[in-house]
Amino acid sequence: MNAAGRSPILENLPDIVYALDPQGKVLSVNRAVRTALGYEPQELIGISVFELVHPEDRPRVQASFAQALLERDEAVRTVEFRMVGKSGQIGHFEVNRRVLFDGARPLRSEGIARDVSRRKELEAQLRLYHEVIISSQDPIAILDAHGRYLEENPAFRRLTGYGTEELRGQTPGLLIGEERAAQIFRQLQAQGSFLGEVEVRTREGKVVPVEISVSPLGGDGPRACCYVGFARDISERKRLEARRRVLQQMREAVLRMQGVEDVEEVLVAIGAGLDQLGVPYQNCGINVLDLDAAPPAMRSRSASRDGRWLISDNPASVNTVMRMWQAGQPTYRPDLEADDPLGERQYLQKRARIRAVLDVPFAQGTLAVNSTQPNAFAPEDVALLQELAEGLSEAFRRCEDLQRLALSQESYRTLVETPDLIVMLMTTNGHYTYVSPQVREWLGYAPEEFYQDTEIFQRLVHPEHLAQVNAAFARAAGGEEVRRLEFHWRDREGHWRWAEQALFPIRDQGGAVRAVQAVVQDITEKLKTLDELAQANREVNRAQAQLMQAEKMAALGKLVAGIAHEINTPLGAIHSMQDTLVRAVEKLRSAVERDFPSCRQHPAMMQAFQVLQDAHRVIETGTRRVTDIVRGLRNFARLDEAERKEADIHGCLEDALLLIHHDLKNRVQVVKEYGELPPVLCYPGRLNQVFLNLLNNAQQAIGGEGVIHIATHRQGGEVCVAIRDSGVGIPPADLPRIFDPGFTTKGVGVGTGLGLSICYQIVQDHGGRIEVESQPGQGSTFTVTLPLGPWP
Amino acid sequence: MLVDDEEMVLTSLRSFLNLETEYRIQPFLSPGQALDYAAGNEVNLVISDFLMPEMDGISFLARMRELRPDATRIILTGYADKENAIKAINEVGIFQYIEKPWDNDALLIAIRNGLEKQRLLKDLERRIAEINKAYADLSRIQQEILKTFA
Repeated sequence: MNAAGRSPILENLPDIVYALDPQGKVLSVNRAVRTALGYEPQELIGISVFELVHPEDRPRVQASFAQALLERDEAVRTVEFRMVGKSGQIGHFEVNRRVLFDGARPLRSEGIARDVSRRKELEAQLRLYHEVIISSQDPIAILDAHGRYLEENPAFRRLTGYGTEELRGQTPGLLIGEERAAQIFRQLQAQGSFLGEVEVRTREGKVVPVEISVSPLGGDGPRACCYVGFARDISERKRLEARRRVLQQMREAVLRMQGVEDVEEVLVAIGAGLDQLGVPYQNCGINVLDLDAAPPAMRSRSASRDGRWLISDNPASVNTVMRMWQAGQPTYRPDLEADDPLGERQYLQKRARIRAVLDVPFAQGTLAVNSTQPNAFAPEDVALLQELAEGLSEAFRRCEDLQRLALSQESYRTLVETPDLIVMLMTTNGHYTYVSPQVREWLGYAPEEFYQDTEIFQRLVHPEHLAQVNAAFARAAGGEEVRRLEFHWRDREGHWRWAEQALFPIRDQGGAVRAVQAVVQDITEKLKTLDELAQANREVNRAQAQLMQAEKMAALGKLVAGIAHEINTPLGAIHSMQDTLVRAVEKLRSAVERDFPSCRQHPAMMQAFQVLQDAHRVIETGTRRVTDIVRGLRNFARLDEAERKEADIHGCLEDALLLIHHDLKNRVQVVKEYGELPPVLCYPGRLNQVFLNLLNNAQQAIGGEGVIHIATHRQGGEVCVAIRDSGVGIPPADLPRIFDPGFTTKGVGVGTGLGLSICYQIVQDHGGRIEVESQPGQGSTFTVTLPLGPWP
Repeated sequence: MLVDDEEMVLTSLRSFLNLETEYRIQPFLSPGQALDYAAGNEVNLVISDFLMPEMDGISFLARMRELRPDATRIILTGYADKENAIKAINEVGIFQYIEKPWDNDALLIAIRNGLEKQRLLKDLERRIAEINKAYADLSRIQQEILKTFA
């Protein structure tokens, strides 16, 4: 075998080629030993090969060699063992050797030793990796370059429910859908790796959220020879996240609470949350205890009760809730049909077959959920509600604080509950948190009805005032004080009442508007009283005016009577004397003409007679005029005629015209259109007054030149007197007031403002009416209509 | 007789009557003086004012009626107060009331009628007296005849 050592092929093999004598001493060895063990081939000639073997492997190698010798085994055997190099390095070698015999005598042993240290290392590593993969709790799968499953660990099989055989050759499309699988594969091609969430449909059809991480092996992108995917079941994490989210939603609803009424939104949020979590609840609600009441009272509200509080009328259920509240811990009755510790089954099963009930106490009562399924609530559900209840306690305290903010002192409450005012406290989103109890007396609605029904106010306020009232509320909610807002609202019976309201924003310590306080005053009675007072005042004014006028007229009557008498005496004398004078002059003239005929030619004398004649005529006319005026005055002053009598309306008009003759004269033309009128039963003196007043107004309205039309006619059982002037007219705004006592446009000193009101009264006393039509700039027409009588 | 507290009324009445009639006229500003005069003198007709400061026309005429029941009484009023006038007529017996301002002709007619009435009454009285006297004479003659033939 020496030749072997010299053969260039053998010499250049990377494996060690050697020959040993039967004692194991080296006969020859090639150069490969230099690389593998660090020895020169010559160094090893004659050396026992066993010295090179690792001491731990040496007995086994010696034994194997000895056995081959003993059994004369010439077959090629493969042995693995470690050898120690020149510098102490250890290498793994795979040795194929055979022993050559010469008959029974062993000749030598030949073999090739291959250094397998690297492979061994890899093998060990691989074993470790495999171990890791197999034992990993996270599912792991290896896919080939086409994305087909090559290998997967037990966790993967547990997750998917598929066995190795079922997965072999399949793609992930089986588990996550072809579309999603293709999408991920595309991303792998483009970006080299994928990290994300997928939903895995298991063999049983369950969908499990899984987070996966896929990386290529043996090169990126298209060059990858296979892919390894790590997965993690995140359903628990998802579930916890969902719970956290649900709790968050519920807590947000709690945090938004500004008043107890907002608990409605909390209940809605709880319901929605339980739905999201898949908790099979039937109803959720809240019981609020009022321990200040005697006996303790309770009101309840549930998501199914469309926003109304139910005031409990059952002392037993109040007690039950109170006990649970005092316990301070959740009270869970998992199945009422198995165990009904609080004796509530009958009561609770009235509407639905409630099996499970859970009450979680909070500061003011309990938060309650129930279900028609036994054991509906898991411990974590209880924990969730417990956590929520804590938030609710805080919210209720906050709402209470808010209420207390406005009603902090008992004295203030007393003020708030005085019978003349209603105080309302509203959250900025319009929920009532307090309404003083007087509202019941005012409107017939209980404060609770306001608490339950945000819209109630909108329905009570008169539609015409609603916009204004809402705008005022918005202003107050925005931080502005609103005072003296008057509006109409309706009580339960439908009667409209006047209210005056002031709105004040209520701020928290941070200065944010948290509530609006309304102070409402019922001013219906006040307005009614004011109205009555005004009415009474008008009547007093009118009566006073009438009295004044009557007194004035009585005094005037006396004066006129006195004047008439006083005038009549000299007038009588003048009248008579003038007549006598005429007679005397006539006699004188006759005597002169008889005795002195020549006097006819005496112009001075004739002129004197002419002057005397003219004087007589003028005096005659003047006297008659004065006589007429005095008669008119006398007629006019018939105020003391207490008896009504039949009078000629035209005569009355003439008397009145006579008295204002001096004002009319050449300035105002009087056009009379008198119809046929029967005598009218009346107080003539007072009617004179009416006509005088109207005519006087007419001439004053004309001012300069103009026309007064007086038209009379009979109309059935009535007579009409229309006095029309061509004056300035009456502004439409003044028209409704012209008959009011004290209303005057004539200015101080000209009119008393009483004239027309007295006319109105007098005509009314006659059972008649007085009407006015007027066009500014065109004139006015006053029409007096009187019944012929008899009148009341 | 004319009685009025106003001189101008008296004057105008007197002037008119003087001019138009032949009556003897006695004007008085004072009803008292008028009554004094009437007590001692014949009065056919009296015209009196209604309102006078010293004594009102009705009282005055009532006194006149006592003194001179035959005299025709006319009242002159400045104030057409029919009620009072009627009262006066009923209480005192007044021939006529005349309103101021009066019409001279109407006044004259009233005076003439009054005097005529007075004259007629006097005439009647005289005749009645004559008849009474004749009757008395007749009675006396009858008794004398009876006495003679008895």
